[in-house]
Amino acid sequence: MSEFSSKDLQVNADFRISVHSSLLVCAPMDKNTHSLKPGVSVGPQVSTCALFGALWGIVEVVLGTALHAVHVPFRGLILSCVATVILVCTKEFARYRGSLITTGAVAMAIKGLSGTGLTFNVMLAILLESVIAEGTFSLLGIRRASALIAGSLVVLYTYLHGILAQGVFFGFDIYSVYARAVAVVIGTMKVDASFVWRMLLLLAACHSFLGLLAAWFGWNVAQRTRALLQEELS
Amino acid sequence: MKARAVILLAAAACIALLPRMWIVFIGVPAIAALLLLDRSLLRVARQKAFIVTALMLIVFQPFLPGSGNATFFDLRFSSALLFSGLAMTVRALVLMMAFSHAVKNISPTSFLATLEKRGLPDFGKTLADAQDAMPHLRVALLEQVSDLRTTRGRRKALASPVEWTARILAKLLRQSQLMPEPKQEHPPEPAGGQKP
Repeated sequence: MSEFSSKDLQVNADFRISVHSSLLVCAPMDKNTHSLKPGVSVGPQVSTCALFGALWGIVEVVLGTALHAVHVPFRGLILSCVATVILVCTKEFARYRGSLITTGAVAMAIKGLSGTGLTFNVMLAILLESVIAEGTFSLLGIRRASALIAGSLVVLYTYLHGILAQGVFFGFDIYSVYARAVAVVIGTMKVDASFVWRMLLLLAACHSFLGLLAAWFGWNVAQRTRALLQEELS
Repeated sequence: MKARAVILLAAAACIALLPRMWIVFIGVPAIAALLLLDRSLLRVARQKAFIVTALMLIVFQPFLPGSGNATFFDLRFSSALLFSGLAMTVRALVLMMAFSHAVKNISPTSFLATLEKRGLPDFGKTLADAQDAMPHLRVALLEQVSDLRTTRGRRKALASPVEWTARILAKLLRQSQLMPEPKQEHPPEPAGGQKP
């Protein structure tokens, strides 16, 4: 019996070393494309995607439901900032192409299977956020600047998601309805039309800036996490 | 994906592409048919965001000044805008109900199979890993929440949020990677307790 226990511990110890190494060193990367070299296995990185996807899914289910229940304004903004932090950290630890889409799909599946009411709109938003982040990292490489741009775009997308979703469901005529309503409000309040557009742009800029901050935070967290894991390994 | 869900989604998309006039006349029976399939789809129409938008389209929009061609209790309104608002509301209702029905009726297995077919290889394994990690994540996150309830924990988190989050993340990564494989059941010992 004692022999069995010691063997079991040994197996776990080997597993720990191998997995820690995979987290820190990752797999051989192509310097030009910032993706895995052809033929390289992404096995351990896929489990990292699973972890971050589960984390994102839990945040969407628990925090999303809580914020919805207490009617917090700008809850989409809060959730997408958290999503940005998770996406940036995921890219740091799972550097293969498509890792963010896998993470998003896991979060989307968890949200969809959680049975917390009507979720297709949220599921679509989760998937598109991950696609936007993945696209940015694929185009610009995995570096701080691309993380900042990705974060800014992800949160900006959340601002536009409601408008786009309304266009999809109610038809694109709804935009002319909004334009007419805004014109009436402007006429009644006697404000300049450009003032309304400036306010909308300012709101978009605020979203973008908050996304930038979330990405900056996420990048720093990822670097510090990597350093902590490295310290433990050495 | 279930064939019925796919057919319903395709039918809803076709209805959405119809001209306004047709949307109302085909969309209303489609909504009735969907409700016959599943009464709980009525929840879609009870969403606050939907009600507000529908009211804006049907009640507010036709009464916007400058476009009236008919009167209702001395209030001028536009019948064309009323009809257009109605068509948009019906369109949204059909699409939302069809999507909702599809999401509800897709089994996890067929959903995974579809995603794997559409370019996410090993997605089933990844999702299984994620589901395995969830209890550990839950415990770890609850620990952090209870830590945040203490003054010391809050002070630590506020003093250096990056360090605090990085420590949580490092712990989660470590825990998730150290999760032992599920124990395999030992085969029953042969009679008499003798090992083969």
